[in-house]
Amino acid sequence: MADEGIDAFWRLACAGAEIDPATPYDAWSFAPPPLVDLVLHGGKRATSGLAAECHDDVAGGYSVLLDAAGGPVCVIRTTSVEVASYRDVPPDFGWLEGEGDRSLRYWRLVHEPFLRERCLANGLEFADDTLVSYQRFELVWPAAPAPTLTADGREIAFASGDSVAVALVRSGLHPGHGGTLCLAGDCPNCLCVIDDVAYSRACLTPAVAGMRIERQGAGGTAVVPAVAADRAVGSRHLHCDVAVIGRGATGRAAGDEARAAGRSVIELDQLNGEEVAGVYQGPRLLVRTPSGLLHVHAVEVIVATGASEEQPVCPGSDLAGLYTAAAAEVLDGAGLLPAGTIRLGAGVRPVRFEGDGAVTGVVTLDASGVEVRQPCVGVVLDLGSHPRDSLARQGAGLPVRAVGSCAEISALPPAPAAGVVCACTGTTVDDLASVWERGFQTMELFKRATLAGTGTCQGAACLPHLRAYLAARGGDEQPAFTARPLTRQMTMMEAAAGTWHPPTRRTALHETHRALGARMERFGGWWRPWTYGDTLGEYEAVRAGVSIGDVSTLGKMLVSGPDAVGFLERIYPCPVGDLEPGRVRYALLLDERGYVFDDGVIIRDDERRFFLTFTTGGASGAEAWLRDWAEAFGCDVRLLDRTAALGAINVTGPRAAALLRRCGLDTPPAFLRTADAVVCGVPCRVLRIGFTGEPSFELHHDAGRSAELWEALMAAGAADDIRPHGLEALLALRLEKGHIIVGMDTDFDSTPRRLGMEWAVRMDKGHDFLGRDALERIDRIPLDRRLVGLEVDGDAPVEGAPLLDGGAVRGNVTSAWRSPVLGRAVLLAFADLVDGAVPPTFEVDGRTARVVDLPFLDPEGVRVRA
Amino acid sequence: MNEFVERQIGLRWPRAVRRSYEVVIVGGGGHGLATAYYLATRHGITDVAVLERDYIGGGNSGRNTTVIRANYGIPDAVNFYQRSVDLYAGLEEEFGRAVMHSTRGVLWLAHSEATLRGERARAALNTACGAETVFVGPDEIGTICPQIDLTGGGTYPVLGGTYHPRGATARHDRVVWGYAEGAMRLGVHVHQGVGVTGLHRDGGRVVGVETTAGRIDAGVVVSAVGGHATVLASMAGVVLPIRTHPLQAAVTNHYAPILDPIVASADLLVYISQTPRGEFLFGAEIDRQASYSRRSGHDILALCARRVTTLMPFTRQLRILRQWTGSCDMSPDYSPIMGVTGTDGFLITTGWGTWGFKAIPAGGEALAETIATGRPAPLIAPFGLDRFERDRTRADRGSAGTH
Amino acid sequence: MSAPEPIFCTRVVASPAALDALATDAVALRLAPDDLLLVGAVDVRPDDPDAIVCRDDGWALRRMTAAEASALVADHGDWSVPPAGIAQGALAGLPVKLLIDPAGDALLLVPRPYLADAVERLP
Ligand SMILES: Cc1cc2nc3c(=O)[nH]c(=O)nc-3n(C[C@H](O)[C@H](O)[C@H](O)COP(=O)(O)OP(=O)(O)OC[C@H]3O[C@@H](n4cnc5c(N)ncnc54)[C@H](O)[C@@H]3O)c2cc1C
Repeated sequence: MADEGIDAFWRLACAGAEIDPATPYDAWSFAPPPLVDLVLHGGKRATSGLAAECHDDVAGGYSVLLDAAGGPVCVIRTTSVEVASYRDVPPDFGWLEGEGDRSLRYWRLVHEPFLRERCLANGLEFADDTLVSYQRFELVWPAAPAPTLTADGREIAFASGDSVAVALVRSGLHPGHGGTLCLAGDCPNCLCVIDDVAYSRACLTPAVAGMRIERQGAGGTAVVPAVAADRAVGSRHLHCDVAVIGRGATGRAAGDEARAAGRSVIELDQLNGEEVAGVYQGPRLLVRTPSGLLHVHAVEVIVATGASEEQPVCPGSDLAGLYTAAAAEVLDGAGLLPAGTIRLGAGVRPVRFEGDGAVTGVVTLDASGVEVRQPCVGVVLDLGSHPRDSLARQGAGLPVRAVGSCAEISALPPAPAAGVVCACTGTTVDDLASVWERGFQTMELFKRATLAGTGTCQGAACLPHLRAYLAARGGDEQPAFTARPLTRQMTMMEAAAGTWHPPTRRTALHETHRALGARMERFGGWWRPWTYGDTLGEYEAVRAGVSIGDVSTLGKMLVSGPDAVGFLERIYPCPVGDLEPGRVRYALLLDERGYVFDDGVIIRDDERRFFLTFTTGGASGAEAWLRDWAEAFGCDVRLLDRTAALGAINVTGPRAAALLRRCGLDTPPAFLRTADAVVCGVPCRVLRIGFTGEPSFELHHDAGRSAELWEALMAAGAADDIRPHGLEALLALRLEKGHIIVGMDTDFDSTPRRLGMEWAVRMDKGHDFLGRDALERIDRIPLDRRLVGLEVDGDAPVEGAPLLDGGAVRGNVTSAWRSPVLGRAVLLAFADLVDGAVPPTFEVDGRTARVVDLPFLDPEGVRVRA
Repeated sequence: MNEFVERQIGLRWPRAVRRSYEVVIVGGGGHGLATAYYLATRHGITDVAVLERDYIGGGNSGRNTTVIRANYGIPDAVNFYQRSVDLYAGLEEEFGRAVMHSTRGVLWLAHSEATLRGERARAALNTACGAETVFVGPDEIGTICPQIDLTGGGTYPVLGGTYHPRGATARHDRVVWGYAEGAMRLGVHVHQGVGVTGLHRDGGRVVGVETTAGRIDAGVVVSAVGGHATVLASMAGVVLPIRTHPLQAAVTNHYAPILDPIVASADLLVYISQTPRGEFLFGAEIDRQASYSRRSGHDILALCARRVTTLMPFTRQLRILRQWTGSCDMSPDYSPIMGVTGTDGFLITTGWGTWGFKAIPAGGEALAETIATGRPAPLIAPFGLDRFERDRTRADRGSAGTH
Repeated sequence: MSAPEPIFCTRVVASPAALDALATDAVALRLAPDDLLLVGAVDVRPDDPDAIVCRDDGWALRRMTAAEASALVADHGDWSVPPAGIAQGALAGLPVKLLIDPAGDALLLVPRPYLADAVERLP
């Protein structure tokens, strides 16, 4: 041989298999070359070709089989060569060729086009009597191992290429516990627990060495393993013009046609391990494959799933030893159809099967209607078929087209008279009768009352019989019940493949907080430090010294443009136009119904340019809110969301200003003022606010410099015992000042009036604004409840605790905290008004709560302005 | 043998549609049928027709995940749902039929401080209103439901939650059929395959319905059409603050019983229970986009599967059998809208959103009382349509979490 | 494929006409008719008095080939990558922007707050 690699391989094989290396050999590849994998792993032991091209092939010859790249894969020895017509293909050839479901039907499906093509190349005309060379071979090297798996606790050997169902039959077991085998995925009779996964179709699962199988069978329940293995399941997306489901003749023709029209095509078939589980909007197909979940996105879907053979319904139809014609073909090819199996003619419906566990006899009617009993060890049925159309029906209303026999309408079988109709649920014909007689007579009610059709096969096996039964009783043919995904059951892990939990954002200081020992919490879509371990100490640092907090999560937005002022006037319920540059104004955000959904501040940079902030939770919606309204109002504005781009650190406490002076901010802005400055070398926009009740300076800066700024502030504040504060402390600090947190102290129907925040709305500001109409109307209606401040002696009650008045619930606490500086618990609460006023006291947590004015701390705002 | 085949309930359908009824109820879901049932059994009003355009229970009442609970967020709601929980507990006796009612407790988990706060509030308020709900820590949660991974897959650790012991489930179809059977036994007409296509009015008053089976006169017309509430109401000149959103759910094959309570997570936005048949039922939030579509989506299935397997790793290899979609009538304050509408002769029961299965007994009972007495039943008085005009909305976070 | 890392960019929001007229050698992503993202610090002055031009630290960037980008999207997204130009969508649940140049290079931009998730989810 010319190729040295192949020759070296041959010598290796000769050494391993004790062959004289001088023996002549051939080297070739299959068409298509990847079929060689089936020789190694799929039990392929035969090949066939046009006899006219195979003159030289003789029994006893050796071949090195090559892969697609021309590399050697294995050595085989031809054991027999037999020439016969295409029509007279040996019955075991489907099996021996090892392709598809190993049936003769599949063999013909792939070999007819192949032989046609070879004929054409040789100037011959293909016909039924075209001579074909049928060759059997054995694998010489490397030797195939004899694989085993465990079935019901017992080790059984199987042949490579067996499906689990065939492997079980090979060892003398019915793959379920009985019922007609279809070996085509249509019925529930071969369901097994395979490696802990129950309801697995044994006929579509390739047997793999070491598998653990428990036969489940139709109707069998399953035990959930207490610990489920965390098997990673991959997922992939493919895009095409046309997806064809089913690679039978019709499907392939449809695929060829689409390809000829220049469209990209993806073909899918369960015989190739591609089980389509559902047809979704898009259209998108969800496909189970051995290597994970496949999403196929197509412009058009062609369903060519063919037809499924009818299952018998009669007494004894749940015995072992019954086969559809297609299943019999597969088993026959494997030499597994026992002698003594009889074949009933086309359309011959048994009256009953006899036997105990396995069939021992079948009773049919002869031409004159007399029962005839035939003893047997197996029965092959040929009851015709019905469209396998559940995927096509799922696709109704989408660009999904059914072609071939799955699109045909089949005649209903005669109404079943006795036996199990729905093997999945064990529903019998008697059950159908009893339900019918009690008024459940339309298909959907019938299904729900019997549960027939709701099992693993989703009605594939029983639907024709159910429809036949209803038609016979009611006189009308009723349509099938709705087809819903999943046609093939995915496991939870398969369904979840490629899908993640919604991500939680991190500020640029995330790792800094973690290094400081913070407990990070999800809050408003961000990870935030909840506490650094000593919430009280953090609180005290703010009240008595200086502290920093990460407020990078605040929503931040730039607005500019000729219509900026007019636009913001319509957005906010407070005036905007009179705001001077350098000033900070607190603002509520109202929806059209006058309900508060967010708050923040407005800063004016210049005549036509503003900087806005929003709450952490509100930030993600703020941009869309502003854009939508700018569009709706027709305002000429530029908008830029700066939330991710800017970090923000709040420096707060009585010693905050002093610290900032040391950090380069010579004149810290006064309360509710803003300034641009360089702090610790980092350019910042400084906002003087007072959420904590102490002088507070928010330093907004480029997020890339957050860590640097934080470290510098910590270093500069070391002498003042600076420490960071977490969210838990912040919630307490602001509560003492009576500041609400939107979402905590508001409901989704809180008007400013209900929050006691009428001051934040200026109905007379001279501009219409969102929510104004609603407020005007609502303001004429007496108020029913209101957010108030309450004080209680002792510890803080639970947030959410009811306010009681004479035993009746009159409101609820929204925030609570035992204030160390005040020595009692302070609460915000919604309280019902009685005769237009809030009663002076309530009972909370068995104690008396007094209604007090807000804020609880520093009502004159002396501290915050200091 | 299939032990779940319906062997008790018998539906005796009326032969023909009469041309006139004292009360015509549009929609043969749980609410329509329960209203008819209580009209007949509690008020002796039997000249009643329930018109269902498809088949009874074919709407949301036959598509839901059957969670029954009273742990809502505002006193009016807790009182109302507690009544329903009580009625459900007695429903098998009431009907003399098995409806597979099963008390199993609802466990609601929190994986963040923010949610923990909400759960504490839920427990406090429920207890004050007489619906037992206790705040529980991770240890107790582990005892109540050992299947939960308290570390939340390392990413959603369970910080605590609430336990509502009277939470229950029931077979949805049997509830619907039980009401239908009971109502029909007393002479109520339940017509399947009769759709209402228009309303007849005389002056302002609604006096009848146009149907696919012709005109039917009515003393009172009740709209109980589930997700299609705005369509029917607009025929009566009533504008409802309702948007219809799809809600999806899915079910696995059946497995031997292992999961006792109903488990929900507010942070992961998912809930799951195991039915008496052994299937695991799970669902999540509504589709954000309003729509009447009943096409199931794959995204929500994937998200649910991710969430459920995070919370309960034992479910990883369960096979998902089927998914489906219903149409939910969402009100802006997440509370129902029941009773008179301002248009004479036209009443509604709507706004059941994602949570109205549990409301069927109390909703039907109260609406029947309202029809029979001409006055809003006290239990549902807070839920009238006029509350939106009167600034008396009933914002309820307790129902915002679905089911 | 490079590891994703934070970068700084220049963001320009201005009238579409002003952005159309802008000439720059910088790598540019036109996110919307009125919104331009330039990779790196770039000094630009669009002809719009209301233009917003600022440094933008909100992104993390990953360099790869167009083929790698296609493979990444096939594994993690339900959209497909155009032969050239800009595409935006979700990858493994994260919002990303992708710039493919005709030469076969690709830039993947992830909002900086998702950087850690991107490292975990998009290996
Ligand atoms: C997936 C899902 C899960 C849910 N889970 C829960 C849960 O766990 N717990 C809970 O309490 N609730 C749950 N719900 C909500 C609950 O199902 C509904 O709120 C409840 O069933 C509503 O009942 P109904 O009678 O008002 O409406 P439906 O049951 O929808 O009945 C309305 C009926 O009106 C008919 N109809 C409509 N228009 C016309 C017309 N013009 N003429 C004649 N007939 C008409 C429809 O065909 C339908 O049968 C869930 C809902 C869904 C979709």
